Amino acid sequence: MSRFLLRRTFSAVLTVLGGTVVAFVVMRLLPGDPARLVAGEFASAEAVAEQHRALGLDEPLWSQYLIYMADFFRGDWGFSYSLGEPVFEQFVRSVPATVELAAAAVTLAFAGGVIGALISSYSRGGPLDAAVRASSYIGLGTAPFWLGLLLLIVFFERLQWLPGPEGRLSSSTAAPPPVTGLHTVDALLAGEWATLGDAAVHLILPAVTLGFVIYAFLVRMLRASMLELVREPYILVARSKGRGRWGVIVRDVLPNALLPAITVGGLVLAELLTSTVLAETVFGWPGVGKLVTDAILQQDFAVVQAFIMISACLTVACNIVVDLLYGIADPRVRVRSS
Amino acid sequence: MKPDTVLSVKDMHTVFATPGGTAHAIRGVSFDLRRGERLGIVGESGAGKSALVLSLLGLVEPPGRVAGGSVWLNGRDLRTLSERQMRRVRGKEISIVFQDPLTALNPVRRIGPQVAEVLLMHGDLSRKQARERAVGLLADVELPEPEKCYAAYPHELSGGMRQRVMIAIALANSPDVLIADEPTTALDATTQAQIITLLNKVIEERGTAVVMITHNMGLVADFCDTVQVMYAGEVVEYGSRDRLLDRPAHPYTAALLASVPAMDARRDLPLPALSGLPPSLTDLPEGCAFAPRCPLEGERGLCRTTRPAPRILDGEPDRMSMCHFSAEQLALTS
Ligand SMILES: Nc1ncnc2c1ncn2[C@@H]1O[C@H](COP(=O)(O)OP(=O)(O)OP(=O)(O)O)[C@@H](O)[C@H]1O
Ligand code: SF4
Ligand SMILES: [Mg+2]
Repeated sequence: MSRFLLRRTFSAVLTVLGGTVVAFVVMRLLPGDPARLVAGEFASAEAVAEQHRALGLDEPLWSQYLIYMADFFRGDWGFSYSLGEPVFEQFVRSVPATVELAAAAVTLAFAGGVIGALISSYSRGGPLDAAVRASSYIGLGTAPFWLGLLLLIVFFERLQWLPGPEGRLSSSTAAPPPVTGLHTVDALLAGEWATLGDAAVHLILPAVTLGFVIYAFLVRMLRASMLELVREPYILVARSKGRGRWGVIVRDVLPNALLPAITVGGLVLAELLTSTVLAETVFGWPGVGKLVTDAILQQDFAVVQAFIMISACLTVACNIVVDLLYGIADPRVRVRSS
Repeated sequence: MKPDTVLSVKDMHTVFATPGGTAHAIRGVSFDLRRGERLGIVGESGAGKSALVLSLLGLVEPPGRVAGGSVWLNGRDLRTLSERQMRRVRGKEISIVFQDPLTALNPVRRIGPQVAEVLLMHGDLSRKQARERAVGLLADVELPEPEKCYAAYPHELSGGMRQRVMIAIALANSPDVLIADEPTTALDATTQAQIITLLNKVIEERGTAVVMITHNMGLVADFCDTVQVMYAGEVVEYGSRDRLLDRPAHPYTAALLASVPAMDARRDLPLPALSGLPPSLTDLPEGCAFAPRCPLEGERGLCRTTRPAPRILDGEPDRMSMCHFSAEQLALTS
C-alpha cells in the first residue's frame, strides 16, 4: 500500500508541475504586457518599466516561475489589478458559490443517474428505458450554456416559475450569516426559511444546467454496466433465494455497478471545473467561473494563472481520491494493494 | 402421482426466441420426486437440463418463456402462483446449488450477509439471530473458522469453500427439494469428493429430496437413487439407478454409457461427446429426435415418421423409455 501511495504521490507532483509549467509559459507568451495594463494605458514609459520591475517581469522566466510557485503555496497568489485586490481573496470570496453550485449539480446528477439506471434495467426495452436512453443522448449532445439559455427562456421568461440570471439570491433577500459560505446551508443553520427557499430556487436552473451532462454520462455508463451485471450467475443465485426482480437490481446489481462509477465520478469532477465557467456566466452566478471569465476579458492574468494552478491541483486530487475510494469500495482491490 | 411425492412436474414446455426461430428447449418433461429421493438428470450439453431447473423455479427470463405445464410442490401448482408468492417458495421450499461457485457469490458483499439474507427473507428472525444461524450453517458445511468465513469476501475463499457456502445457503431453510446443477464440475477431483460427502451428510440429516444434474456417470452411480436421461428437451428414459445403468432401454442411454470406457474401473470420468450432434431445437426432425444418430434405427420408417410415446416397460414398474424399440435395446444388453 505504501509503495502504491508513494508512486501515486510522485506522479501527482509531476502532473501538477507539468501543468503549471505549461500554464506559466503560455501565459507569458500571450500578447499584451501586463505591466502596461497595470500601470494604465496612458502611463509613461518609465512608469511601465517601473511596474515591470515591481512585477518581477525582468527576471528570467525560470526564476519567475520558482518565485510564483513559492508564493502560490504560501497563499500569495498575486494582485488582481482589475479589481484592485489580492487574487487569493477573490478566490476565497468566489469559491463557496461554486462549491454550492457544483455540489447541487453533482447531487442532482448522481441521484438522477442512479434512479434512471435502476428504472432502465428494471424495464429493459420498455418505454421507460427508452425515455432514459433518450435523455442521456440529449444530455450528451447539448452544450451546457445552450441548455442554460433554454431553461431560462422556458422557466423564467415564459412560465416565470423560477428566478432569472440574477445570481444566488434575489436582490431583496439578504445573505444569511456566513458559516460555511453555502447560502442554503447557512440559511438552514440560521433557521432563515425564507432565505433557504430563495437560495434553493436560485440554485435549481444552474444546477440542472451543470448536472445534466454529468447525469447523461453517468446514466449511460451505469445502465450499460447494470445490463451486463444482471447476467452474472450471482444475480440468478439471489433470485433463487427469493429476492424479487427489483430487489436484485437495487441490492445486488447496483453496488457492483457503482464501482466503475467512482472512476467516472473523478473524471466528472475534474470536467466540472470547465463547465462551471460556462454555466456561471449564463446565470450570473458569482463563483470562480465568473471570476475567471471576467478576468480573461480584462486580461487579468494573475487570476487566470491562479485558476489554472487550482485546476491542476484539483484534477490530481480527484484522481488520488478516486484511487483511494476505489480501494475502499472494492474488496478485491483492497486485498491486492495491501 | 406416487404417494410420498414432493415435487411433481407435468408436461413442461419452455421455448426461447432466437434469431433462427423458436428453440424448443423443454418439450413435455414430466417426472415425480419422492421425499428423500435423489434423482440424477444426465444428458449432453444443450439437452435442456438447466433450462428445466429455471422453468421449475419460474426464473426463465426473456427471450425465454415457459409455454406450458405444471409444477406441483406441497399441494399447489407453482405455475399458478404470482411472482410475489413464488418469491416465498424460492430459497424456502426449493433451492439450487449452481455449477460455478466462483461466480455464484456477489463479489462486493461479505459471505455472511449473503447467507443470512436467505434466512431473513423467509423467516422472522432478528438480524442477530440470523447472523447466529448463518454462522451455525457455515459450521454445518464444515467450513473451518465459520466466524471468520462470515466476515470474509468471496475472493478470499477457495472454490471448494465457496461451494460449501452455496450449499449452506441452499439448505438454510431446510427446503423440500434441493436442485444441484453440476455442483462439482468446476472443482478438482479431491474437492469434488469432499463436496459430495458433505452433500450426502447434510441431505441425510434433513431428508431433502435432491435433483442432481451432472455429466458425471460415476456421480450418478454413487449418489443417485433414480436417473432421468434427457435428450433434446425430452426425458427419453427414466428408471432406478441400477436398472438403468445396467440395462438401458433407450439407445441414447446405451450410447451414453458405452461412451464411458470401462464404467466400473473409471467411474469418475465425465461424459465424453457422442458421435454426431443433437438436433437443432428450432428445427426438430418429425419422428424420433434421436433418429439421425441412433444405431438401432437402421432404415426403419417408423422412427423417422412417428414420435415415440413415453412407454412403461413390461415387467418393470417405474421404468420409462421413449423409444419404439425399447425391447430390442433391452435384449441387446441381457
Ligand atoms: N438465454 C437463452 N437464449 C436462447 N436459447 C437458450 C437460452 N438458454 C438456453 N437456451 C436453449 O436451451 C437449450 C438448453 O440449454 P441448457 O442450458 O438447459 O442446456 P444444459 O442441458 O443445461 O447444458 P449444459 O450441460 O451445457 O449445462 C440450449 O440448447 C439453447 O438452445
Ligand atoms: S425410436 Fe427409433 S430412432 Fe428413436 S431411439 Fe428408438 S430406435 Fe432409435
Ligand atoms: Mg446446464
